[in-house]
Amino acid sequence: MAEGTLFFLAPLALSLFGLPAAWASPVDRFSPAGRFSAAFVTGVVAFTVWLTILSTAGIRWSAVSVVLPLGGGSLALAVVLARRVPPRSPGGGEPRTLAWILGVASFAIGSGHLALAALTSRATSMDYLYFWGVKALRFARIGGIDASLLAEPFASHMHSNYPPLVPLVYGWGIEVAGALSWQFGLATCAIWLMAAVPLLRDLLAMRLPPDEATMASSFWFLAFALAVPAAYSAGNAEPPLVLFSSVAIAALLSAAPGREGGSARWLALIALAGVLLTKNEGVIVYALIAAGALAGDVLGGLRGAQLSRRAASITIFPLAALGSWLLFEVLHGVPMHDVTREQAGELSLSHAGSVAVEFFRNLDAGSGWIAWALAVAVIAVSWRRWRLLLPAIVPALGILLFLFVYYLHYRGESLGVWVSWTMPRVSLSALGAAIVGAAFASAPEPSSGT
Amino acid sequence: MDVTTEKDGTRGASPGRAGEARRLVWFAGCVALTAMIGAYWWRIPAADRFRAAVSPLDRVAGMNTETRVGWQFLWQARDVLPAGATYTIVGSEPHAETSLYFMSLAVLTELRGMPSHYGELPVEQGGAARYVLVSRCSLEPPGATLVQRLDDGCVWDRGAR
Repeated sequence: MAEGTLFFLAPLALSLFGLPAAWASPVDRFSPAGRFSAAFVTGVVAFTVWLTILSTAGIRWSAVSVVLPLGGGSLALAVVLARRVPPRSPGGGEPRTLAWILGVASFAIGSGHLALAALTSRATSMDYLYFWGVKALRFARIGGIDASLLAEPFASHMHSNYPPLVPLVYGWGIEVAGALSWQFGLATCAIWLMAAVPLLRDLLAMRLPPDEATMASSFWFLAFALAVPAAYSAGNAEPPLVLFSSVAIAALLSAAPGREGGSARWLALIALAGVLLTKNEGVIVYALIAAGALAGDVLGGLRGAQLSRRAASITIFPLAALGSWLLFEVLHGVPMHDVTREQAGELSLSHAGSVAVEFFRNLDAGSGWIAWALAVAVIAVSWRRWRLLLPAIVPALGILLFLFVYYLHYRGESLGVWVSWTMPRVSLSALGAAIVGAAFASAPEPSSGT
Repeated sequence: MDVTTEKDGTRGASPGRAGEARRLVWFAGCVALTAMIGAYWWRIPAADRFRAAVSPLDRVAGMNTETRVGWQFLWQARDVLPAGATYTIVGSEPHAETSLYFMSLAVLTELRGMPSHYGELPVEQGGAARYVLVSRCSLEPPGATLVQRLDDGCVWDRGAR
């Protein structure tokens, strides 16, 4: 039990490697929980990139090679940033409004539901048992990314070319707890989603009244507390993908239109790196979010050098993080392709109707379509603001469109089984984008002249 | 929280009726989702609702029994097999067998697995493994000696190879 609890909580310690995020603007003015979440997001990405670089260089992971440089660097940078920030005036904290109480209650209910569903084996992802956990065990054992495992002839089911964030975080848990606790590892799905809530809430609160931000982020959390077990995604890479993609979109949308001062865009870039490092599907999610953000910039009137700078930043930083993994693959002979059942472009419209039916059926997301319905309704009501919401609308629609076209490629006899097996899981990031977009869609119009 | 008092002018307007309506929408959504969580647990028979799981596969819907009990079988076999040995897994049909092989890589970490099937494809390497793990004791490998009959399968020894 103690070992399992330690394994469950171990990922949170990775926030130590992302401390500077808590003292960077605008996160330095967030709630303590929101600042911790930003440090967690940043720490997980920094940890993944650093361990991948070490493995690429053939340096074994250890306290000296991992904790010392990452922890020391993080702490030093955090101290530098903290000294630049003027001391905060002592305040009485946030008022305990009804919305705040409801937020805490939602957090408790959602967390309890997720943890219980996972611990009682009602949400287990087979991929966790098939390869995420296997990779973590092997990586932790040899103190590095095990290229020989990934290059084995009978390892194609492991998706050898998947980026390493998830097994590295599990490997960290193994180091901290002494073993992989299979049952408690399932419950880490709750950790990823719980970590997202205060950060999403504070990013929303940059544009929304605090109570509204609290309720919208609570809705996001409850929606995923239901959707993750329904998608049998405890233990797999979907919960971190949802965290990173939702935070990236929220950070992009948090800047008021036309105002970049104190922007959380840097946090979006880090979260987008997390999206890319989590799994291959993250490339599509990343591309859609980045495309939405850039389209928003263009439609918002940005041109020339300013547009180029924004395009460069949203491209270079996340792709450089992914580059650490691609370099490892190239230098260590890890297969860079994934075995797919379908040939791209060989699609048939003859079963488009069946696909549409199965498609709709599997948007239930464990909530009887409530999560999707509310998000779509709020965005629809605010349709005049669609340009501002492109970083959310493009990934939400784009992921669904991608899935729809993907299913048109299906040639077997069990379309319903295939869609029910994949869609609840793969559409989670789209749901996150839709809810975050809906929350910002309802943001009050900026007042003028301040 | 300080951020709510940003001087960027984005929240200067009084929330008014529109703000009330928005809060009501999110509040109603949260209530509805909370009710769905309640319904999720209400649907489960009380005796089974919070009973601890024996394995990660206990209650995964739609899973075949062979895969479901396979996880426990592999942990039982782990205590029987010597470290460093080679093993293969035999099941009642290729997909369940492959599923057990995948999971064995998570459980039998001190041994070397050699699949007999990979998906629907038969794999020759499985024939070279010393130990044969037969799910639910569904067959007796020719020329092998029974090492131990476990709750959810049998372990057979084909001798040094």
